[in-house]
Amino acid sequence: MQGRLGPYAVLWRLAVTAGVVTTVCLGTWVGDDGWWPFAPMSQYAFSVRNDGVVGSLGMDALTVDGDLVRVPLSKERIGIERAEIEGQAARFVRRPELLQDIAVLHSRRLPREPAYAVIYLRNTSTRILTGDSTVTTLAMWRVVDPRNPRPSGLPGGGP
Amino acid sequence: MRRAEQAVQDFLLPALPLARVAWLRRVVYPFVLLDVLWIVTDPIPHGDVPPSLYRGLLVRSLLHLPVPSHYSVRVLLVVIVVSAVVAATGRLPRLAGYVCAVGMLDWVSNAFAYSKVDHDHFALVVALFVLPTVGPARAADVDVRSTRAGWALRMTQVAAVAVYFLSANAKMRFGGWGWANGATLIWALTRRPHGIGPWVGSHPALTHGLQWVVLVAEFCSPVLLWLRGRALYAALLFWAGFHLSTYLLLQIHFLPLVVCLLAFLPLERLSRPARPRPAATARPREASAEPSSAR
Repeated sequence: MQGRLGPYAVLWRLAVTAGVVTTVCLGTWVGDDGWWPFAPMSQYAFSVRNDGVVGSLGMDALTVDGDLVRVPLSKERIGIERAEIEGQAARFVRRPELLQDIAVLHSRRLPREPAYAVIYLRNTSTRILTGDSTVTTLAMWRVVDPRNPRPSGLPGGGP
Repeated sequence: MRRAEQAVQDFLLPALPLARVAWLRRVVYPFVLLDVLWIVTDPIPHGDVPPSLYRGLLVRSLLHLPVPSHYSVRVLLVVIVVSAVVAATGRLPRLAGYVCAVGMLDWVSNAFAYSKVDHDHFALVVALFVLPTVGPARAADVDVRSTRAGWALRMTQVAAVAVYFLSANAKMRFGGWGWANGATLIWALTRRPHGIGPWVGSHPALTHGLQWVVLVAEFCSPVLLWLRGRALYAALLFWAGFHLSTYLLLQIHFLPLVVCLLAFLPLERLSRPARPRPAATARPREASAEPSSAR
């Protein structure tokens, strides 16, 4: 037997255990995502009615060449994922100028693609029972200086 | 009172082989490389995202971690890779381990600081912070039992179980008691169609059954901390199968959690593979006062 612990070593380990277990439990019981790594274990924890609607956000863009294209929302392409846009959807609806920063991100990450002149935030609602889909435009932004877009300068946010 | 204290200590600080920690390090730190280079790769493109889309997290504010930039995320990647390689070799277990842990805290919190927070990394983050506390550990230390090792392994086990158990709690908090009879799985399969997912999604009774299985298993998960032998292996196999099926259906794997489940296994046996038993030699049995079942 090696490393038999002294009283102090036992005490701090027990205190850390109690602290971690208590905080992670509180995180799920009363906390929110800002508490990460003690955030609620809430992936797929919401309930969806059997006759409900599945919403899915997406972005379209009108390029300077006049083509309507899908904005490739993924970490591999434009650098931000659909779920990250969904998490901030209310901000985009409230301040559509945030879409200017999507144009900036596109120009940084995919500079060889035609620049975005207009960006649309859209939601596709699919009825579970019938499979019928409806597309709604939630926000629209005409990009300022599309070929050399500058950040909106809007502040980020704390947790 | 002393018996209660002793029981708590026996549960949270069992004396376990140092070799198990050595083997776990050989898996966890290489997994960190896999994680930052192939799985959680968001922080690199996040370095190009304008600050307006950065939402932050409490932990990043408390530690004064800066808004990610094009260069800072690349420097961080190098720090994590170097520290994980050193820690995986067993050298500088405390220094390399803590650097890797803090680096991963920055890396993963960066990934989750843009309004999408996953819960698959909780156990891994805990494991990365507790493994360095053990200090030096060699794969040859099969017979060296240590309460330092026992606490680190127990914390990793508790963290893994917490993810499952609290997932069920979150379903009750956010989805309500009707969660298992709802259409959450259909919702997920509709958004991420893959393999046989659409077929499963077209059978509501099947999706309800699967949701009940998951919910009951998550609520019962703390029993993992007391199971032993075949029952433990069967439970671990169930969870491995669960994660494999979510990967096949939804492309969601929870590998950072799966890696931490290895803390339940007697990894030290890898240092000393089981040898075939020598042929039995006939030997007269000694007389015993007790029936064999009682010994």
